[in-house]
Amino acid sequence: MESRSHWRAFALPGVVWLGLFVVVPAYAVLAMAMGRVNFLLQPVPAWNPFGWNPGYVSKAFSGALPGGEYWPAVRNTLVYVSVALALCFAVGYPVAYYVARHARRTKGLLIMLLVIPFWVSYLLRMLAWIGLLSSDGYVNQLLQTVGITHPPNWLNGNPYSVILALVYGYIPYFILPVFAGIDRIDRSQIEAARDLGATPWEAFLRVTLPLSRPSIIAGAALVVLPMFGDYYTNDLISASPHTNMLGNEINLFVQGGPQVNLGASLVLVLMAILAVGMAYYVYVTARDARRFA
Amino acid sequence: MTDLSGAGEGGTDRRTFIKRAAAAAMGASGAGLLAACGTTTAGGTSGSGTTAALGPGGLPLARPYRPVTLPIYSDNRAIESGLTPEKGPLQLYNWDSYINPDVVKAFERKHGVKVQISTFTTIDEAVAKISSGAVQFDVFVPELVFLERLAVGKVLQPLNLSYIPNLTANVWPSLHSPWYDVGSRYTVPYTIYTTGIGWRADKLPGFNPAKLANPWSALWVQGPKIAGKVGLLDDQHEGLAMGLLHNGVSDVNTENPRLINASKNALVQLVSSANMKFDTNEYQHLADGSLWLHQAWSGDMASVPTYAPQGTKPSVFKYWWPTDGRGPINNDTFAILRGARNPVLAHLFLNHLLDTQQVFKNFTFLYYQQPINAMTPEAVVKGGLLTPNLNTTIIRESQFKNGLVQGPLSTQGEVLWQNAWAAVKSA
Amino acid sequence: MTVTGIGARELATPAAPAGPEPVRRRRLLPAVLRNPWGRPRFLVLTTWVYIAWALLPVGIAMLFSFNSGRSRSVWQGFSLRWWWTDPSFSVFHDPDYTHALVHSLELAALDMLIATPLGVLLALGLARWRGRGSGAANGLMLVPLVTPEIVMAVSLLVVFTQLAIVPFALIHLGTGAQVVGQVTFSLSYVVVIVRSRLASIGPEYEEAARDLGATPIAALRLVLLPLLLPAILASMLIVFALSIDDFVVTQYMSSNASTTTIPMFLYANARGGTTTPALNALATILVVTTLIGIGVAYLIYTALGRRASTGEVSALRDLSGLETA
Repeated sequence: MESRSHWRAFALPGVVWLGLFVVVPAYAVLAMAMGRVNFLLQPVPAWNPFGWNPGYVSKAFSGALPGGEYWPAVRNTLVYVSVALALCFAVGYPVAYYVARHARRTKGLLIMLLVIPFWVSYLLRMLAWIGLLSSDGYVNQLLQTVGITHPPNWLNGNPYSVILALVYGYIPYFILPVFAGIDRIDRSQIEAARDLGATPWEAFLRVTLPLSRPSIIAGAALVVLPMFGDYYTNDLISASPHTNMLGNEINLFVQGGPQVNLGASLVLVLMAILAVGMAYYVYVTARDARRFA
Repeated sequence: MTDLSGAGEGGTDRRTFIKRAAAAAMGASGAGLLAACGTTTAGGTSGSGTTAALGPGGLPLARPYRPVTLPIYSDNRAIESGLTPEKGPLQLYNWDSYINPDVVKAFERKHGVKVQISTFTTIDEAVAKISSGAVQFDVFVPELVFLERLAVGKVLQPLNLSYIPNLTANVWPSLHSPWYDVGSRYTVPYTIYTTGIGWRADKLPGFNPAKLANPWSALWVQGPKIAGKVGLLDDQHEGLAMGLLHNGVSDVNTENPRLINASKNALVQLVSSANMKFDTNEYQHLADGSLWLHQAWSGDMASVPTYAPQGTKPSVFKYWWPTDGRGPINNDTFAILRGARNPVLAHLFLNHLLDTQQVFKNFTFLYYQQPINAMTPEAVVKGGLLTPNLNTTIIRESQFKNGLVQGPLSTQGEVLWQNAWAAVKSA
Repeated sequence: MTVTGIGARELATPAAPAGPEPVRRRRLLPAVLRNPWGRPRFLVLTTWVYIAWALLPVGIAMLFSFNSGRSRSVWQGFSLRWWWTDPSFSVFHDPDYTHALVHSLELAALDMLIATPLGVLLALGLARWRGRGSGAANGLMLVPLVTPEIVMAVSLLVVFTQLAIVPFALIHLGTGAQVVGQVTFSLSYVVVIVRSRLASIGPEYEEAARDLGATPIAALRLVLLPLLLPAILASMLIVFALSIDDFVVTQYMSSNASTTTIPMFLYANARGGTTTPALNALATILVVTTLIGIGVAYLIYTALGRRASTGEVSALRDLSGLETA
């Protein structure tokens, strides 16, 4: 196959980059998990596998099982991310669909509006929300004027607020690829389905939705994977140990102190949890590539 | 650090630097290195319970009752007296916004040089960079907990105090030769700040920790009544120290696992009974009224009124810290790095920071106190720099001498504290 | 093969464009019930509510740059203090801020220029190569997405400062390391987006071009790349956004004051309350600068586009990632 080689040549620079700056640092994480700290409390990675000290790794993995000390964080992470992903889809898909299929003259404007939040620091946007959501903030004042006498305390270590904040932070990364996917679906295919007697709903379910599936999977990967390691959202919006996520545990150990190796071990736990999802992504994209190629 | 910087360019020596530092420590102190540099074992909590007598680098862990003289090495000496200052630019490595830009500008004007400020966000990030030799700075702001490690690792260079007359002229006498650095061999003091209890008097009428048998139990007594409105500093040492003081333990640097564990349990209980928040934005939360009672740093409390919405009187903000001084204190320092390219200028900068006029100027930005004779609560209030009801955020030397200053822990002690804190944070 | 958006729509609805309109209007009510997606009331509402939700805080964040006190979340009255009047701390009086703005944009541009082509090529390669190792590379590419930023930052710092071998020993903390770090985590976004687009395009267009005698490279350039354009533009936007708001990796990879970025000012408040609404003013400048940049690019694009083709392609749409061809 003469074309095989030039495709591989295309991939080469990227693969080299991944090798240097992903594989090597990932190995450094493993080596740190298996290593020690020096007297300046800096991690000393055990580059040589014969010098590995697996104590922290086994501590991290056993602690992540139900009943272990990191289990509440693991459980919270799984629950919050699942709900947040469902919400991203429920809100993001209609928005992407509308902008791609129905918006006409407003399309350019809508796209701009969708993109602008990207350019304003997440922190500043979050601070604005915190001001709005505080117990006597505008949101609760609004709720009170419409007759809700006991508005919720949004910032009270409330898991719903954390989930909403996660959706808020990541949904643009879902909408954009899904939009790009739906926008390119050939309308003639939908019209063909309609001509064959499909109701609009059926046409949507049988044509549009399946054809936009690659972009949904892409969008889901872009929001789910980073959410698993997020700690900042939780710190800002809840600050309560009740809503602790795995990212918070990792951050606690990695950003300082004498147990960077425990933090690195918890990253291995995170990778292990996500390995299933990542394998699914690899499988699906490979299958799509095969089917379409 | 001529030898180091010369070799450091090639990169080969970055890696060996740590090893050399450790070897230097061995040479300086002989025994005890294993205890200090030893690898931490899995779990880490298997500590025997005896307080480690030796800290980082084989030196004793510095305590007010156990002053430590940091070693000076033959290959790392102070500069000679009477040298002409370099042309700069002076490279300052500091926490973000931890110095008034006007103080820096004043130095630039006075000496006709530029000062470049680079910032770090965690002390570990800073130590990782400077100890690897990957960056070049002149002046650094070490925490006491890292001071012995940095001196023994030859990351800092000794001072020549002849360039820093303000130390003896302006600084509290008890800090001319502090317990953590006898003879001020490596450091001059920067800010000192207390850790106490801040609250909103309008939301908690009649409340005052001073009225309680143990004021440090204020969060436990008042917290459950105002669940969700209570905050603790998101800082391992401050948080656990609060638990220790609540339990009546005044050694806030203890390495006794039983005491640390009891503090952890007290805090875990507080997390659920008071739905406690963990953050370091107490100035913001008290100002906007989202939290009413918060463990607080004195400097942050002093700045709270500047964050308050219009119509909130400054008098509603209160800060308690024991008048006898038996409360937690942090004592930050400034030091010169061994790799400094502008060591003379760096000394002059340290002297500049201890100038009385600059200290007051710095306060108007930082709201953190420096241990200068002229900086009394009265002087600060009289100068209009502080609202009178927050004069408790400034302490006197007499209080400072009784204070419970955060000191270094052994590596094993650090592990004990961190595991306890992690348990609190995921309670 | 490239047809304009409007042209495509016309092609796609061949059945008498004017005819069905009144018919549909008559059946409006049942149509809404049977097809809430088709007649997009619900969609319109969702979209605008979402946009309000997303933009409201942006407006508020900008508004706070005019706050008279130091708070970034409580309104304390109007003032121009943080923009101009405060001689020490206002944006226009602090050269550090302007320098950070320039460096932020510099990094974002470099990140975009490196990560986008690298990612597009990698996506093409991964999608079509399918040989031994492509699965591994595909999985590998997800690792930066999964890795919490602080972990990536610490591990890169360890690699750059402790591994004394080429090429790591050649990358010094500062702009070089910052670009490497940013490209590494933004690469994944490009690959994921472009791959999903490739999967839905399918090989037919390319094959048709080949059948007509185009070389593989010509087929790629003439057929595949135009079809990929929306995904490429979407990736560029995301890369830019990722870079402009990145804090942890950029911070850890920084060397000294000359490599400070705006997010580094925005996020660092570890030592108490000394941050001010000047940061909001800075963020506002960043948004405005970016919008101006996009605007200028748009004008250039239209100017070039007018000369190159007479098609009624909306350049703005193309540019913002949206619709082409």
